[in-house]
Parts: sequence; structure tokens; C-alpha cells
Amino acid sequence: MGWMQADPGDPQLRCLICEALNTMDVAVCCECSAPMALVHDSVTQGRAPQIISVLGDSNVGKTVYLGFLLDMLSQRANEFEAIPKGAYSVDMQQSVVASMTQRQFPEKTAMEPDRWNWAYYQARKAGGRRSKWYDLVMPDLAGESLAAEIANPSTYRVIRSLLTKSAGAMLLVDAALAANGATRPDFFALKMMGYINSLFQTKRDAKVQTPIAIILCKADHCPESFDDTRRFVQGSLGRLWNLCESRFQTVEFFACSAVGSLAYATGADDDGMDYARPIPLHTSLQGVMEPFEWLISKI
Amino acid sequence: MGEGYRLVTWSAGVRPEERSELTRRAPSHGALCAQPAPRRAVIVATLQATGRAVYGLARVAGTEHTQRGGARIWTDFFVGGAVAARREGLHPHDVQSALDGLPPPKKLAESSPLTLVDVARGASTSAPSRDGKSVAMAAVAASLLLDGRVCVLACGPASVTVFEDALHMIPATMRGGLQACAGLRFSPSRAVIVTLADAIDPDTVRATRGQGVECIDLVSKAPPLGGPLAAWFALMTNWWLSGRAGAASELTSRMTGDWSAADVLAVASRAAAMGEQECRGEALDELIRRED
Repeated sequence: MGWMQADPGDPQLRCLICEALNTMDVAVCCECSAPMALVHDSVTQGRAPQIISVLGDSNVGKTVYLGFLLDMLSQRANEFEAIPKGAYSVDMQQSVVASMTQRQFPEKTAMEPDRWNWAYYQARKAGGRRSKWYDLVMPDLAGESLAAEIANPSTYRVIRSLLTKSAGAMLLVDAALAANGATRPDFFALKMMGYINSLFQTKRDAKVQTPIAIILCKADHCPESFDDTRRFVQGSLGRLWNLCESRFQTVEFFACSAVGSLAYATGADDDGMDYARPIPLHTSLQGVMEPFEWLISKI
Repeated sequence: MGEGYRLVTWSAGVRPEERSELTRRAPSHGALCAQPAPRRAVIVATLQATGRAVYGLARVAGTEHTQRGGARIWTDFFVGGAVAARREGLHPHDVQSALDGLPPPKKLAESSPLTLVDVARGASTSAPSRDGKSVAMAAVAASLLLDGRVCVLACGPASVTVFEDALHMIPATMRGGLQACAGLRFSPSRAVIVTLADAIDPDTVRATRGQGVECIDLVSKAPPLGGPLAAWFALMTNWWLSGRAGAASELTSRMTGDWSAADVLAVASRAAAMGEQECRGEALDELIRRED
């Protein structure tokens, strides 16, 4: 854990994500813009946190999923106990819950890394003093930045660093689109998994060991994905399924839904362009905790 | 051309590494500062990948397609040769004029390359008159742009105008190599030296803390003119305030080629004696004629 220690002769800290040296007073890393509070908090804990990356295409629902997951953790769902480290860790879940309460989806995550949300939580399954605490860092990346990085590796170096250091990942896929026959979710997931494969694969025939939970979001649009998730993936996301089978040792598929019912508000924007804005009428969380529990058990 | 998060189409000759950098530097939704309509932003920089000059002109283009990101930002990037850009010292107005004259691309797809753009220096050299405070802010911003200090300047809601005026005050030859943006919130991913924003907000303070980035509020208290060209910018201020803004920008746009600070100051001392009626045409040429 040398990266966590401040050198007494040269008071600098290594960024948790990109390992750039930063002076003690900076708030965000000078290289990758990750909050240095992550490092300060991990120094206080005296142990390296484990990073779980939440990945997925733009508009798939990464922010909503992560926000509700953190909220459920902090509400002790499924006998989990979770403690946020620092107010910055609560900002995202607060923003998601507040937006959904007002029947709005949270604002799109900006592409600039300095405007991403980061959450640092300590979590454990209730079970007395002997149950193990996990220090988890979960960033909410912009889907567009992920897409840009996959298309042109090293566009966003922070993403590469982040994934390299991740102990596990959640890949969110739009099940509603896939169920309607759209190929975009399958292709994006294929690209993303291909990217991860290229990062972690050490030998030609070796499979990637890093656990990855594939989460089919918006599964309320296709209830069959809840009934038999694997079969749904084989049928609607065949390319992804094949790659996972060939190259990934520890991968599991989950169906998940956060929004109970949607309405659409129509109108015209300032430029006179027609729009249809989705309005989340109520939340009905299904399958949010399961991928997290599985991932924790595999880390 | 960019749409916040991806390049929509580009001319032949824009290299892959440049495209990556442009994607990274392009503002996404929510990056524009608060300002009166039409909201826009300007980026003037040098690409780290190849050293070529880039001019970015960002504007609001409708509502974000998911209806949950506010305004969608469209950015036109003009990439120019490093040597030519330094020699010509283009003003963003020149780039805007050239782009305005182009027909819109028929098909926005990666495989439909744009035509090459000819940008003529001085296509739009006129600089309108401003009030005293705006002129003073532009002069200080101009001196800081040349100073090389990494800083965020709070210029109020007209930060883009202040930036454009500041560029009008800088001799054309010294505009090449500037790394600045205006009308955008501070972000390290922009990779510029000077950011002209509307205000120094808490996010800016947080992002710049300990990074060696100076935050200067030009609205509440502008620092005095400094740097080796302080006398030049004092002259520019004087001309702008006496209704000679057009002549001032015409003079700076003619100052191409090799100009040292001493050369510029020599022009300043000669120009200080000129009357209002003399500041045009051949008199300006005479002013910048140097003895070899």
C-alpha cells in the first residue's frame, strides 16, 4: 500500500486511480481529476479500497442504478451495512433519489472527468463482528466517455487506469432495446467486453478472471429476462454471450429494473423541435442488489 | 465538428490522435457558463498530439437528445497548420466568417469528409466600441493571455466578448500559440492555460486548489496592467475608449511576421502621438513599418 502513504519528506500523495503524485492540498488529481478525498479516506482506513467500475452505454441508466444501489446499501437492504466515506459519496444517491422523487431522471453525466461522481463506501454483510468490511470505490462515468475510449483507446486515460485497477465491474445493458431487436446494446457490450479483455488478458488462451456482472437494465420492459436471464442474453445479446463464454471466467447475468412505470411528456423545445421526454411515474426496484452481492462474493 | 461527446464528421487530414484530443477537449452539456442568449464559447489552443493550431467555436444546438442534459452543445473545430497559424494570427472571428460561408455538410457521418476551409485573416477585423470597464477587462485579459500564467479569469456574463476583444488588442503574430477558452466552466480536460469564465464558483475553487491555477476576478477588482507589453495595452485601452476600436484591431491584425516586445513597444510610442483622424489606412501601415 505504498501508494497510500504520504512521504514525510515530500508531502505528496499518489492518486488512487492514475498514480500521479499530487500535493496534499489538491482536491482533484492533477492528471485524471479523480477526487483526492478517495486517497485521504483510504489513508485513514489504512487499506486499499477495491474499485468496482460501473460501465455501460450512454442513457442505459448507470447513474440511476448506482444511485439506487448506494441508497439501498445505506438503508441496510439485504442485511448489508454501508457507510459512506465523505459527503461526496452521498451526492450521487441524493441527486438520484431527489430527481426520481420529482419524477425526473437525473441529469446526464458530463463527459469531463472532473464532473463525474465518485462514491467511496465501506460495506459488509451483517453477521456480527467477524463479517468482512469491504472498502468500495464506485465511479459513475459518462457513457459517452466510455464510448469514446473504446473507439479510440487512450482518449480518456482515466478510464483505462480505472479499469486496470478494478477488482470487479458491472456492465449495464439496455434490455428493453435488445428485446425490441435493436443491435446497438449487443454491439456496445461486445466492444466494452472486448476492451476489458484486451486490458486484462495476459496469455492468448487465458480467460479474464476479473468478475463482471452483466446487468440487463430496464428489464421491466421485457419480463422474460427476469424469468430466465441467461436464455434472454443468448437470444437477444448473442454476440455478448459468445464473447463472455469464450473469454471471461467469472461472469454472471442479472436482470434489473428501477422504474415502475413511465409516461411521456411531449412538446417543442426552444428551437421548435418536437420532443418526447420520459417521466418516471414511480420507482419499483427489482434486482438491484443481486449483482452487487454476487460481485462482492467473487472479489 | 463535434457534438459534445463525439466527432460527427471531419476533413481529410485530421489525424486519429488529433480526433481523440478534440473529443477530450470538446465541451459537453452543462459546460457553458451562464450568459445571455445566444450562449456560445470559444477555444483557441495548440493540439498536444501534433502541435497544430485549433480554434473551437461552440454553441447551443437544441436540447440534449435524452431530454435530461439541458442544452446540447455543438462545437466546430478548425485545425490549422502550426506555422501558418502562428504567422497569420487568426482571430476566432476570421474562423467564424469562413465557416459561416460554407454550405452545411450534406450528411453528418464519419465517412463524409468535410471540404478544406480557407480562412482569410482580417475577414472580420472590426471591433465595436465598449464601455470603460469592458475595455479595461479585455486589456488585463490580453496581458494575462500573453503572460503564461495558468489562471481562471472571472469576466462576468460577457466572457466570450471580453476574450474576443482581448484578442483584438494582441498583435496578430502573438495570437499564435495561445491556449485559452472563454464561455466555458473551468475543466482540466480543456488543457488550456487561461480560462475566461463568468465567475469563480465553488466547483472552480475546488478543481483548482493546489494545482497552481490562479483565480482572478476581473469583475470585482481587475489587477493593473502588467507584463512587458503593458504600455501597448494601455495604448489599446486608450484607442478603444476614444472610439478607435476599429483602428486598433486593424493595426493589430496587420502586425504579422516576427515582432519582438521591443518592436511592439516602439509602435506604441509612435502611435501614442497620433490623432484620432490619422488612425487609418496608410498611416497604420507607416506606423508598423520597421527599419531593418
